[in-house]
Amino acid sequence: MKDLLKAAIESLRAKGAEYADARCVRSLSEVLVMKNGELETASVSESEGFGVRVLHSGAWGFSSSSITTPENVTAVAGQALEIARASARVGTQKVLLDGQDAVVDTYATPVEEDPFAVSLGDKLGILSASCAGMSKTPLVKIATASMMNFRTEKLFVSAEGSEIEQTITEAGGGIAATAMDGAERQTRSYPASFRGDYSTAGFEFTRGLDLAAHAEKTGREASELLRAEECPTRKTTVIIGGTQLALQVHESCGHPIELDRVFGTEASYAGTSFLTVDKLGDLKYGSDIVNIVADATSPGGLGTFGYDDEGVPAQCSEIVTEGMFTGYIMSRETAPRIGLRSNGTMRADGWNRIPLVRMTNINLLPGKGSLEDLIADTKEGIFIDSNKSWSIDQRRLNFQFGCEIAWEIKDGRLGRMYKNPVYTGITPEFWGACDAIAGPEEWHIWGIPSCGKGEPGQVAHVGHGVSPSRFRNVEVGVRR
Amino acid sequence: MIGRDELTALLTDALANSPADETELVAYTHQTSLTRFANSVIHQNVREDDNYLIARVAVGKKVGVTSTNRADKEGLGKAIERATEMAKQSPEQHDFPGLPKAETAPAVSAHSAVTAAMTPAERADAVAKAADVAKAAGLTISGAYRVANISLAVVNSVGTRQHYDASDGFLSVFAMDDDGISGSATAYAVGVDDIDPAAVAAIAVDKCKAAANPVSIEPGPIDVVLEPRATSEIMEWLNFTAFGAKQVQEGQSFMTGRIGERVMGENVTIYDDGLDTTGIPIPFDYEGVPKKRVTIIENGIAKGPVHDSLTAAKDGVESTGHAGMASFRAGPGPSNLFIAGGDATSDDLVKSVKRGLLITRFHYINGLLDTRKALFTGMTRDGTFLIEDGKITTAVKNLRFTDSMLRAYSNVEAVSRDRETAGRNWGGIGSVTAPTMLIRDFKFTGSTEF
Repeated sequence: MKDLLKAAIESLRAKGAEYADARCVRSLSEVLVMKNGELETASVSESEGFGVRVLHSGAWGFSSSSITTPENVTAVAGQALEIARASARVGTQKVLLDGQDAVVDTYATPVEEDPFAVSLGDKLGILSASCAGMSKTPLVKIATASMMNFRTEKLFVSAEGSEIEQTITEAGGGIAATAMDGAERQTRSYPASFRGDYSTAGFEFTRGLDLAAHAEKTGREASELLRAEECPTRKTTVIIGGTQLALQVHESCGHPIELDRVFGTEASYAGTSFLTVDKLGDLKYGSDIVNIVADATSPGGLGTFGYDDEGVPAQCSEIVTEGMFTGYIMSRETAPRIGLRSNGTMRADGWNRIPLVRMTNINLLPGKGSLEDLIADTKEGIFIDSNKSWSIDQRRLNFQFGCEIAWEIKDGRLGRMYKNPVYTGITPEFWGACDAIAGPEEWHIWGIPSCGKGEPGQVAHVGHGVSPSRFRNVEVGVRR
Repeated sequence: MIGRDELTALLTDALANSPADETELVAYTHQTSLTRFANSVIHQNVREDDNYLIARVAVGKKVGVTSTNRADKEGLGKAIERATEMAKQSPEQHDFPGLPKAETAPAVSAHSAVTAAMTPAERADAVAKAADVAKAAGLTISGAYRVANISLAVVNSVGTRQHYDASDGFLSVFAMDDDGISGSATAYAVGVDDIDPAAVAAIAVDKCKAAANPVSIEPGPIDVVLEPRATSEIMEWLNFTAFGAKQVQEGQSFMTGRIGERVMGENVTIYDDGLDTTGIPIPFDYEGVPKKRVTIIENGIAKGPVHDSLTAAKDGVESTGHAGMASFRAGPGPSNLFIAGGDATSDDLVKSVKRGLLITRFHYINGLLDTRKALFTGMTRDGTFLIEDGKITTAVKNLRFTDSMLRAYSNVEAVSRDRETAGRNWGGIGSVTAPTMLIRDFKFTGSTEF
């Protein structure tokens, strides 16, 4: 296939293309969902194909197909060229790419235990034990345990001479207990909501989650939530746990730093960004203790890889430095528009999608102390965790998050449990009110396998390293 | 794209060679092109040819599901083999009712030769026409023009045989001024010859111009006139959280335990009709069961959800033909949803408001806050306007709502006669057709800076 793709690129260059690249991708995924001890989903999916991206007359064209015969590779390259020529019919803005060195290399996720070699029986045993543990609590009516495994094999070749082969392996899982009593319904999950936690790793990561060992507690908390008080509505100090803070970083930092979004390419879909280029180096995004990086090299991060889908090496870039907004995630096309070079964040969801600027691991760097220290240092407030709902405006300013659970903090101790906590804010005000971030001992990269962007829709697997953090004067609850 | 005869031969041959007790094969093949533009320039222009083949097999009551994009004998055979192995290693699904045997679904017209033949240059020219309209008004546009040709086939080992060809075009145009103020409009049709890019752009431009210089208003309960896209966006979330039988059976839906009760206003009727060509018809589901017309809410009374064969067996009823893809197991859901029209015009609704808001559409709705209460949140976008004494007086800055959709749709004061069809925001075949609706005391709980 490599030779076919290289020949296609060569022929595009001969027809006047300024640039071309091609990717062949084979993906395999497995989804297992057990509900109340019965297997609801046992599904394996595979997909294979190739895509050709070409720049001609300063405009992009892309075509892709699942048929990998020599004739079809030639035909698809021709379609990409025809599409690029059509693109050039509208507008006068020409695409220019930054300079990058050609790379010939291979990369593979370090894996101890191949998730696709683990027997189905072994996997179902973990799920079954987890369901049984949650169901020990009588009011738990739905006990769900799930796991997903992914393997993506990618070949990238470019007109500049890059030839990169990568194998990315990802694994993880989670459990959720839903307790019901009359019309009241509450869900508690572990280790994170919406199917759990994921990593670029093998099945050793899933085993390490020890889902079954956490099942009883998860079920019990779901049941306790039924009787918990409604979270009060007030402005107060909030400590946000890791799983929720990961999504806070995702929505209020990760998406607004995508430079293609800043330039308006997502305007008609999920919106633009308040982090316009005039604010780079000039906006106080958060308090002095807030440091955020985009790091595609973090071991185990779900946004970790060797090279992005433009062949640029994975790297770590500063995004927020001592509270100042200092960087974007960028592509070879967008970076030169602000006088910079790509920082390797172009990622495509399969062979049939073009790469977009995507989050890698957007990490809030740790501060110091434990979560216990943080709570002990708080006279009054609320500890809140585990995402239930999310919404943010089209410039990523006004957000509202609903969570599974909260506890009152009084005189440095956790008190009563609250249900249905919701908090809201405006992004720079919120991060400006961050006055404590727990230390490395609490820091974990949460893997989110469901980040949506673009048309046609693409799903990216991204990571967010965070430790629990404290924010002052947060509006909790919904205004009546 | 793989042709109908070739696809039929592939599926029936694979079916005959399956080692499983029961086998269902679904083939979703498509050729999709999408031209995406921003700042009045095409920045993405893509095409894909792909197949999505799903094998669901049963060995006794043990079920396995695999999917592949290899539409050939070897690829599909391997998928069936793998599904069978998975089934053998799995525990029994006690509720599995067996695969459904279905009559051939009625043919519906959902395919256009004009759409199928549209070229990249024609899509680019359509974008240029829209850009010219915006340029004349001193604005730029962004958006997307998607054109898809689809074949869907379902066969199973108990005799079900279905096939359906469809095409559609979807144009979204988003006009923006130098301050980032926006207005938007969309068009969705089986035939792209029914889409007028200049006309779509003109609506977006008018909205954008009118949305300039927005003022802040205090959040709180306020009357709203929701344009069709705003209601469609809410209905998509109700599809996801409430209108399928799985959500009802698992206690997630607001209809759980409330079927037969009043849940919305008397002037709200919501139904799904797979054959109604006003929307985007699809005559059968992903189990090959022909779609029945299902009234979900009738004059405000909860009548019941849509079913697939599994949920129907649990409730002791017949499938309504609303199964989703077996590989996703999200449960059944509506695909061609309608909200019944009333007898007013959209202008009548605005004129009857003393003080309220005209909402073009919403952004980033989330309906998971409390699904039993249908408690939703979301932002307004692309044109939010203050109505005073029956007239639009100014644009307002965007607001966040947090409200129970049961409470809100119990306060519907009037419904327009005219309806508009929107494509499904979340992709896949299907649509939502909605009128303009006047709702009293819609609850806004926050605001933003623009």
